[in-house]
Amino acid sequence: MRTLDRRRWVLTASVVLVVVAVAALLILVAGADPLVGIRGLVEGISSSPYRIGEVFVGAVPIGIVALTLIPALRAGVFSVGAEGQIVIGAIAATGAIFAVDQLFGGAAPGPVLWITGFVAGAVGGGVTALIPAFLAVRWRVNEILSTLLLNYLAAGFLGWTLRTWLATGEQTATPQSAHLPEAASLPLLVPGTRAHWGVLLVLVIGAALFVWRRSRSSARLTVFATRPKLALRLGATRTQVVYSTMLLSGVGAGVVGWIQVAGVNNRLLNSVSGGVGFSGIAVALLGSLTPIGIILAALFFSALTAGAVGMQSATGTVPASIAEVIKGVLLIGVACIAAYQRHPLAALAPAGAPTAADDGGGGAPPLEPAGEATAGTLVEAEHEGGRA
Amino acid sequence: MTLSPQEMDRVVLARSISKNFGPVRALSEVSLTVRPGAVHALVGENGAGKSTLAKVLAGIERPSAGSMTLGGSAFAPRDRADAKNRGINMVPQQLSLVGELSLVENYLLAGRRRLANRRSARALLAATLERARVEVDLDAPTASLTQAHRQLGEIVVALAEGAHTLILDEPTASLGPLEVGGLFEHLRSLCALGTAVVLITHRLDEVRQVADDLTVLSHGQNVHHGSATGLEPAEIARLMVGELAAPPPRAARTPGEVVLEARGVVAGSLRDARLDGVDLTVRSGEVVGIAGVAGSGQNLLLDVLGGFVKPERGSVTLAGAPAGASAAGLLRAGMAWIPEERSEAVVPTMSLKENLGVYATAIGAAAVPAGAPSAEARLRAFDVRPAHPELVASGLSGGNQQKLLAARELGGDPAPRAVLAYGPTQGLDLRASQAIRERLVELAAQGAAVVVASHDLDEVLAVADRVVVMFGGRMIVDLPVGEAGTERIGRAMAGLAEPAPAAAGPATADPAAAGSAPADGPTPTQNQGDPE
Repeated sequence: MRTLDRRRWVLTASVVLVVVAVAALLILVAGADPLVGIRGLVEGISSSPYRIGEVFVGAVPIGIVALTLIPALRAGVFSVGAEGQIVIGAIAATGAIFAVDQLFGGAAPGPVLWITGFVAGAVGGGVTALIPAFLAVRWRVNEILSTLLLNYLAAGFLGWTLRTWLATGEQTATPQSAHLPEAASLPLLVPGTRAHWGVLLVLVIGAALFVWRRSRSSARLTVFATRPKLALRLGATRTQVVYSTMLLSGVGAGVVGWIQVAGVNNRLLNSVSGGVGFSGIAVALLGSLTPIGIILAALFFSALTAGAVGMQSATGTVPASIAEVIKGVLLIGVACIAAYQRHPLAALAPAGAPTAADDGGGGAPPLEPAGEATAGTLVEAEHEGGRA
Repeated sequence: MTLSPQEMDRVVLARSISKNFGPVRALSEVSLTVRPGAVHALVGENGAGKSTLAKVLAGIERPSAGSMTLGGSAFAPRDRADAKNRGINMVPQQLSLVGELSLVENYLLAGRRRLANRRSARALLAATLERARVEVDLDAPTASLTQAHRQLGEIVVALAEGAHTLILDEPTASLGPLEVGGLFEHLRSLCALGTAVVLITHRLDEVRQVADDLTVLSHGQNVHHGSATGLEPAEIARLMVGELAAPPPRAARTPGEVVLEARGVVAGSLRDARLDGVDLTVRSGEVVGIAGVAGSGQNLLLDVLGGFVKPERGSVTLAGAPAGASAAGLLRAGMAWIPEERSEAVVPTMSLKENLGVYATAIGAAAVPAGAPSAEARLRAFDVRPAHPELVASGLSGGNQQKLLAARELGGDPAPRAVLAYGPTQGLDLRASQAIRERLVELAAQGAAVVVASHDLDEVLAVADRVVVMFGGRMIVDLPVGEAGTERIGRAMAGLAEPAPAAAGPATADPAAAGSAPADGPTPTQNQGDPE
């Protein structure tokens, strides 16, 4: 198996090289010196405590989304609905905070509002996640499709909400809610920055998942992803796996919605999710579904976004959106690595060439059903397909 | 046989064809003559080499040795398209028509021309239909056609592409008896026009119905080649299966109480024959073998017994587990499971040790007792090579993965109360196979109820005390192994009913058969001796 690991490292290293090359090329094309650009990027994330704090502020939502996606992705349940779940969680948290605050006559203590926001966000996100889970279990609706489309529904609902029942009374350029009560804001972790207590929440979730990875349920999910029949013997039915993993990721995303409202913006904005849900999936894969890897990847993603702003001001010509391009290239690389992990040799061999089954030297012997692993050509697939 | 010169142009002659897949010899010096205007049946057990031979003829596989001629000149197709150009075409078992497209569009799709002319294509197909005297809707999406019409449509497309020799891989597998009759009529009229048909089939009565010539393959060797006329299905069955060596003497065990019982099970699946009221009783200390050609319902039955598929009707009970228990419940009650596809039960990314302990870690079974054998000892007991507990399972060869699976399912402590095993010795050499069989018998001797299903009749007869034959989702024979002669089992596997005593010729003058077989001709019989 050592050969396999070495190939993986080579693949990972080449992905990193390609990313750096693309970044340098883009800076050059934009008419700037790559070295100046990179210095601007580094300064953008390190020159002041505030800027360092911004990296953490950006990493918290991505990290929580990615961490709570671990069980789902481990079980092969590919939910891409975090965007929508964040939105619904944020709406629920905002609404609940205002309602509870009113109940206390506008003077509710902080902890009450924090718990209210946390619970409401979790319920909002969780319920949103249960809809595609139900569809997937009951009618086998593809969960990728249903979660993706629910994101648009959630976005539409947010737009309506901000113009109607949660709209602020003030005159504003964009639809938004009223300012949250002061007490509802998450306390700051480091004064002078925007870094809030949510950072600690990431560490708690990370630690919990670190322990969970050694648990029975983790083993069951790993088996479920590739060997559903064996998983049945272990008591992991499809119903139970889909509901539990999607609920967890929904709760995580819903809590992120609350954190973005109460910890960052102090009001509900149209941009509350801001692509965090999708970044979360990328970060989960980049961190190869391990808590430590994910936390590092989330910091990296956040630093890239924050640093790109610094780069823009340092060079004057390089747009900050370069960070998005780099993330995109990185995602393609991660997808390549993930595909390689699933079918180590088949992913590298050209289609139709002798496949994994024929490669005796150091490679994995065929474990997949014959039709899947050995059907190299169309003709073979035609004949083997029915027997797989 | 006399042939016109025109027909001589199209005789396909295969001489001493051999084909190896790695160390496995799928075909060994097989010769074959396919005459124009005749139906040539190709029969044999699973893995006898029928499909391989057909693929060699159709250019899909290249022979390792031997040569072929077509009308006297050398025929060595590079690929399927090359064979098609020479007029030899294969209709696969899994039909290749695109369901959303009509036959005309499918023909255009498969054609070689770069520019598609729908009108001329339609005219050509219509002419072909007329010639073959077939009526199929050319313009409806093929998915809307009946299975039989789709089969005919595939043949028509092949004919329109200029095929004079058609290879049909089990065309009747998914057809009802009436549709089969219709298909055969069309095949006969094609033959009258000079087309040669190679018909691969499992159903021996079809050979009698339609075939002119017959080739029987057994373990990759040609055991019969010649005219099909005058051969009774029973004789063909004996040719196919061969004279089996008598099972080794076994210690007599008296079956105890009922451990595993299925009653009136009705269940459906996309991959296997529909179970139609199956009853099965397995007692403690008993090994029941389930024989039958692939897709007769054995896989689905094992899935139902293992709790993976909920039956629509009927019940499965395992002593010690609540009625209707889940797969997990059955596991806790002591059911061992070796599926046909070992990849369903071995997790490739886990180490050997983790694979052995997957039940304990994922369910949290009782803590491992202090004196329990180590993972390495368990691996050695089943001769898994290398017996290295930390090795990832995907690093093992297929045979060793099978041993790993056996070590987990059969070598655990406590010993299983019931065993479900499909082809437990597949991919194993003789010595390893023998060890697994001995372990299965040993478990039975300790009181387990053991079910062994296999396509390989030898494997079933080697361990079973009682043999059950499934065909088309029903149990049609249930016999003690002593009475289960090759001939009876072979006939039953091919879907032929027990011979009625009156019709029993000298070849079937078996007192046991005459005594216990019901006299009601072709209707499949239910599990005998099961009072209901």
